[in-house]
Order: sequence, then C-alpha cells, then structure tokens
Amino acid sequence: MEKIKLTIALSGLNNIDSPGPGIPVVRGLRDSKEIDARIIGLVYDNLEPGPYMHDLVDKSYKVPYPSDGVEPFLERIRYIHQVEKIDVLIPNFDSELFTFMKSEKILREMGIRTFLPTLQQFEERHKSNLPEYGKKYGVNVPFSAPITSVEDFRKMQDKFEFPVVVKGKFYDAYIAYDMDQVALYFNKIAAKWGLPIVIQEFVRGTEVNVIALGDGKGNTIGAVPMRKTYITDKGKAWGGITLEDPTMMDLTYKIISQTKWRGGMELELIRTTKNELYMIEINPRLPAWVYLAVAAGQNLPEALVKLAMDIQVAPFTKYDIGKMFIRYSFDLIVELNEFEKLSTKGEL
Amino acid sequence: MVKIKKNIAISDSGFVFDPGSGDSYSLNPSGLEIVQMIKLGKDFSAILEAVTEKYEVDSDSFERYYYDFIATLAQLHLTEPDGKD
Amino acid sequence: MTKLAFERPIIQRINAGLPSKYGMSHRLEPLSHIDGTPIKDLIGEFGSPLFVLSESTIRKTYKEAHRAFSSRYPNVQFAWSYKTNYLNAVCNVFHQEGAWAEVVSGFEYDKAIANGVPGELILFNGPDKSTEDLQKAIRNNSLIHIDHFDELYEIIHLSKEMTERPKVAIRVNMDTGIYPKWDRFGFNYENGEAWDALNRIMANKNLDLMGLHTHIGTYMMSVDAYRIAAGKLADLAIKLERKHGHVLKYIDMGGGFASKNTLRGAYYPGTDTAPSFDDFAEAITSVLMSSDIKPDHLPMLILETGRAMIDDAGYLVGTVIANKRLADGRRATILDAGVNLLFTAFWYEHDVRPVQPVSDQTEDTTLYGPLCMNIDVIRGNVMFPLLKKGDQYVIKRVGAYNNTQWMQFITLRPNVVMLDSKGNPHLIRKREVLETINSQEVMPEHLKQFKL
Repeated sequence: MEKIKLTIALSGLNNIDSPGPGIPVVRGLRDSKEIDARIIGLVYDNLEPGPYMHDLVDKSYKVPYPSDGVEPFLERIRYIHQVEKIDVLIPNFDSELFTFMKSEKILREMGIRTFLPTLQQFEERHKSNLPEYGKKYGVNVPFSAPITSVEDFRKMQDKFEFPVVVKGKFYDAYIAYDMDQVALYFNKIAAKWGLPIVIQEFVRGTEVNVIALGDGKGNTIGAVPMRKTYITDKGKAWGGITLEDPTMMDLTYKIISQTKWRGGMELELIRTTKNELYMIEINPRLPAWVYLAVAAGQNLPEALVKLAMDIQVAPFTKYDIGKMFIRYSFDLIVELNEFEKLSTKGEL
Repeated sequence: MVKIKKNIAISDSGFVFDPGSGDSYSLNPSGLEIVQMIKLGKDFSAILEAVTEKYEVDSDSFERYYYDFIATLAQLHLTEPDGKD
Repeated sequence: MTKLAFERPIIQRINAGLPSKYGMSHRLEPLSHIDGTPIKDLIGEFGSPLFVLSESTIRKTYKEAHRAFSSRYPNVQFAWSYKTNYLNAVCNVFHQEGAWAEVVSGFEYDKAIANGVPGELILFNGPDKSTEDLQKAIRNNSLIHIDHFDELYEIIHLSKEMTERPKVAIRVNMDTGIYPKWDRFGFNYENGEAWDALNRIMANKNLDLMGLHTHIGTYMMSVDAYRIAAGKLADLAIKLERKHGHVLKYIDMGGGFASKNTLRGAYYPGTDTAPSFDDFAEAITSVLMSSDIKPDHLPMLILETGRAMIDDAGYLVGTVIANKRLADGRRATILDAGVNLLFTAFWYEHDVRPVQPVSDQTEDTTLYGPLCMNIDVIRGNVMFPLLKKGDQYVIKRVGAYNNTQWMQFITLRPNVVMLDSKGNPHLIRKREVLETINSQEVMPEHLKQFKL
C-alpha cells in the first residue's frame, strides 16, 4: 500500500528527564505503515532536544508562548504554514490547548487540521472543576478546591487533612504535609503557571493510568491501561507496564462515551487498598508514555492523525499485556552552530 | 580602553559565545556594530563619530547608552577586567 | 543623506531552561493613533500624561452589548454604572445611547440629577444612603435598591411621612458557585432572608415593589454564575406572583462582566479569555426565557455592567522620564504616570505600547511610575522595547475605575480629553492646578505667618 504523504507539525519536543509527549508521538508516526510524515517541530526553547534530533524531526521553528495570546501565535503559524504547508497540527502541551482550540476554526480555514477536545470538554475536566465532574459523570474523585491565595486555604483548612496535594493549573503537583509546605508550593507553582492553584485531598494507593483516544462521537478508538513501575522524584514514570484491567477500561469507555471525548487523553487514577478507583486528573492529550501503547499494538498517534484527516479508523480491540517500557536518558551531541541558528534565527 | 575578552566568539548574526563560562548571548544590530568596533580597537570617541555619522542620535544620548552597554558587558564578564575607557 | 534610526545597543543572555511563563518575545506593535488622531499631537496640545477617551469606542461597545441582549430578550435596559467612570461627558455619551443611571452614593445621585437624568430613571444602589438621600430619591420616584433591613425600616418610616410612594427593589446575594462569595451586600437567597424581606415589603401598603437586583461579583470570567443567579431571581419572581399575585417590573442582573484586560497572575491574556457580551447574554436570557415566568409577565432585564463597557475606550498616554539598570541587571523604565493615576495597575497586567515604532528588540523591563514609593509599578517583568527618555507610551484599556479611583498624591491630576466621532479632541476635565487643591484648604489665623 502506498503511504499517504502528510506534513505534521507538533510541539512538546522537550524530551528531557520530565519529557513532553512530542518525540514519542513522532516515533509512533515514524512507525506508521500508512503515513509518510514530514515532521515540523514547534519549539519554545532553544534547549528542547527535538529540533536537534534530525532523524525524527525534519525542521523546527520557534513559536511564541500561548500566554502571549492567540494573535502572535497565529501570526507565527501563518508564516510556518506558508513555507511548510502543514496538514495536521498536534499540540502536546496542556498549556497550549486553550489557544489551539480557540484557533481551531481559523486553522481549519487555513487548511490545517487538528483533532482536539472541544472547549467545553476541556474546561469541565479542569482540576479546579473535578468535584463537579465526578458528580456529573458518576466517577470517584478526591475532594479538591481551587485557591487564589494561601489565605484562601487557611479559611477552608478544616475541610482538608494533611497531607494534601498542591497542584498547578497545567502542570506540577506536590504533596504538602503542613501549612508551610502549602505556602511554599503555592508560590512555586503560581510563579510558573499562574492561578488558581488546586488543593486536592491526598488519596493513598497505587497510581494507574490509561491512555485513550476518543473519536468525538462517543467511541473509544483505543485505550491501554498502564501502571508506573517506578516514579521519579518529579512524579514522572521511570518505567511502566501494560495491565489487563477491565474496570479501568470500563471507566475509560464510560468517560469517553458520556463526554463524547474528541482526541487523545490520559486518565490518572489511584487504586486504593480497598480496590476503589479514584480519578485524579484527565490530561487532555496523549501522554509522554504513548510509545508504550504503540509498542503494545495501538498506534494512537497514527490513529489521531487519520481521524484529523477524516480517514475511517477502526477501533483497536486488543493490546499486548505485560509490555514494559523503561525510560532512559541519552546525551545528544549538538554543534554550537545549530544552537546558534535556533536561538538567533528561530529556525533549524 | 575597553577590550572584549580575546576568547569571546562573536558571529555575524550577533550570537556571542563565552567559552570560559559556556554562556551564550545575543546582540541587537547596534550592539553588534559597537562590539565589532571595540574589537577593532576603536575607542569611545572613534565609535561616537562613526555612530553619529550613520545614525540619528545625539552624542549625549549615545554616550549614556554606550556606557550603560559597556557596564552590561562588564557585568556579564565579557570585557577584560582592567579595561578602562 | 538621511540618517538611520538609532536603537540602544543591548546584549541579552540566551536563556536556556524549561518553558516558563515568559517565552519567545513577539514584536510589540506600536500604537501611534487613537481614532485617527496622532497621540504625539494630543500630548503636544494637552500635556503629558493625558487620559484619552474614545467616544466612538464607547458607542460601539454600548451598541454591541445592547444588541447581544436585546436580540435575545424582549425588554432590555442598560443603566450606566457611575462609579466606573463618572466624568460627566462619559455619562452623557451613555445617556445619549439610552442608558439610565446607576449610582451608589448621594454624590453620584446628585451628579446624575445634575446631568439631567430624570429621577425615575436612576437606580440607587449601595449600603450607604443617608436619610436625606432616601428622601430625595423617594421624592424623585427613583428606584431604591435596598441593601439591608435597617434601610428597609427607614424607608417604611419615611413612607409614612411623605406623600410619594417609595419605589423599591431588594438586592439579593447568593451562592453562584464562585469564590469569593459577595455576601456583604443585600439579602441572602439561600437562608431565606431575601424572601423574608420581600414578604415584609409586600405586607407594607406604602411601598411599591418594582424589581429584584443582584450583583454577583467583579471581573467575572465565568458565565455560569450568571446563569445560576438569573435562575434564583426568576424563582423569587415566580414565588412572588404565586403568593402575592405581584408581577415585577424588572430584574436587574447588575454588572461585573470581565473586560479584556489581563488579571495579574493569569496565564492567558484577557483578550483570549474574557467572555463576550453574547456569552453573558445567552447565559442570562436563556434562563429567564425558559423559566416559569409567564411570557407576558417577563420583567424588564436591567444590566449595570460598567467595566466591560468603558475599559476599552480609555487610554493613558505619556512620556518616558528615564531609564535605569537595576542591581540585578534588569532594565527599569520610569514613566510619568504612576499608580496614583492608574489604580488598576494593582490588579491588571496592562497592555503598554510604545507610540513610535522604536525597535524590534525587547528586553525584560519593569515599568515604574514617578512616585517616591516602592509600590509604584505599572508593569513588572514585561518584555518591552527599548524606549529612550522622551519617547512616548500608551496604556490601553484604562477606561474603567481609574478616573474615579485616582489619587491626588504629590502631584496633580492631568487633563482628560474625549475624542469625538471624527477624532477631534475635547477637553472634558481640566488638569488640576495648585489652586484646585489650595482652594479647599483653610488656614487658621495664627498659622498664617512664619519666619525662617
């Protein structure tokens, strides 16, 4: 079968100790037997490894941060599109999604396709809305509340027991054992990701995750459950293994069919000692461990691109159980002139 | 006279690399022009003359910008410590 | 030969690290004209700093808001929130567009009357209404929005002494799922206090119950809270009709709509996140239209939104006083307008632009005002082009609250001009002079003389 030639732009190329999903998504696309992809990297920082990984990323462009607003971002995409003729764009950072969803129509008119959750799906799964979400969809969630100052937490402290989890709007989560630590993490996260900060009840148990892809009509195109076998001090997976777990799969099907979820997602769950599943978070994109799903037989990046291109995708029905990944780091050797090019010209 | 450290690499794009610290910097076009003149051994009055000839700037303003700029270069340890102007 | 424009030389460290809030800087487009009039000329004629208000922006915004609501609901009335900007010229633009007046003090009430607003088209809100204020409002048939029981009893008392019947509404506070809850104003919905107050008004034969009022918060980014609030007021209206057969004339949903300014600490800019008038209108009107209120009894819907109506129309323009380098190497630029004039700098990350195209280069800069106070910061850590002493700047979206909350501290308040629809400037508030301040002071005889 002849492969379809597509130009795919994506972000999240910070393949470092706490990696973004960009490079694993590219690996999935490179494995595809149906898609012949030209990969365009969208990078925020001169030190993201992706632009220097020439076997995976064909060309990279620096882009302004989503916090600069939709307009400067679109201006840059227009320029890149003029040169590259982008077919599909895959944002891989949570913080970008709002900007991309806002621009979905404009991008579409330019001829750039995306496959993203709707603004409503995105908003209602926000960490600060989790309790309502749990109620609405009948899912166990830990008690949580958004705060805009440490004082806010002091006022509602009686509703919580230490330890609590202090979480950022987009990223970062720390376990705080006392008021001082809450204040410390509050300031640390607020400085980086803004407000509100979410305080969440700490649920004891084992963290398990599901990667999934919804077609926007209520169907689950693919889903693979996984347990992190070891977690780094940054809370990221060091290694993981695919599980056979019908209850996690049922929960995933339920959430995707009830919300008609569109696009990739990662469910973060805690299995308590009483064997109850608590939903901690829904990440509205494919996670960094997506390549484990690819290796287990579900090439979700490929499926996502096909959905974006309106190509029929049959749901995956199986995956390899007991497939493992071990994350490793690798020192990429970079010539200074490449760093110079990216940092002064914004392209590489 | 101000001297840029010998080992500092400056490219035509305004990219500056300090092999001593491993830090890199970028200069704006006027910054690059001035650094290149300093590298050629020009002193303040020569640079002032060249700049005011080419650009719309009075010597008082330029003098302020120049010394602020040199102070920044010194703060970043890009100039020879004994460099005086 | 013409010489080239000169740009300050700079060197910047190429930052390496993880993505953080501040990213690849984009060019900050200069803003040289307001409504076709060069800012440079305005400063030349009226001085620096200078507040500039755009009449056409006010009218355009008003029409946009009015269209959003009136295309969804049969009977819509706006009332201009005086506290947001009570410069008379601004008020009169709104009154010309058809807005009533919404006031929260005797001073504002008198201002509205002096502007020529008929008494019966003034909504009188707020917790502070003196006996004289209330008498005046009753005499003028103004709509008094009662804040607490003490006020209700005072009105009942006055109604016995006066011939006019007081026209009243109550302000209702409620849980709309937002934080912080504004429960210090009005009567609470959840604990039955509001219903209790309504029953007492109905039991009194001297008072005319005209409507219900709520004002759920300020700078609201979520339209859902309005949906909840409209639902709760509709419930009260239905209960009133069921129990007393009383049909309300209006429901006043207050204001609080967010403007496009970016709140400090927000990740995304306000231009991306602020809901539109259509979003607010859809939330409010869909609830009222689908409530159990009989279609021919649908009350007038009153909106008092201030900030979202005027913020975009205001500009503060001025001149750079000096540049400095802070101890840590960052750039500090000192502007001739500080937090005394731009009170909103305390909670917004204001959009500050250069007036003249100066440079594509930007540098991490803190913009300070001219006051001798450490808190006088207009913008902290902003990627800003390299302005020189004497260069001009413009701060966008300053129309709300600054002309009412500004302070006369160590300096005098500047001119305010309004650009008419053709872009011609009209002075609408004169700059203060020493006499403006001194004329209010009285010197005791024994302090008049001194020898040094």
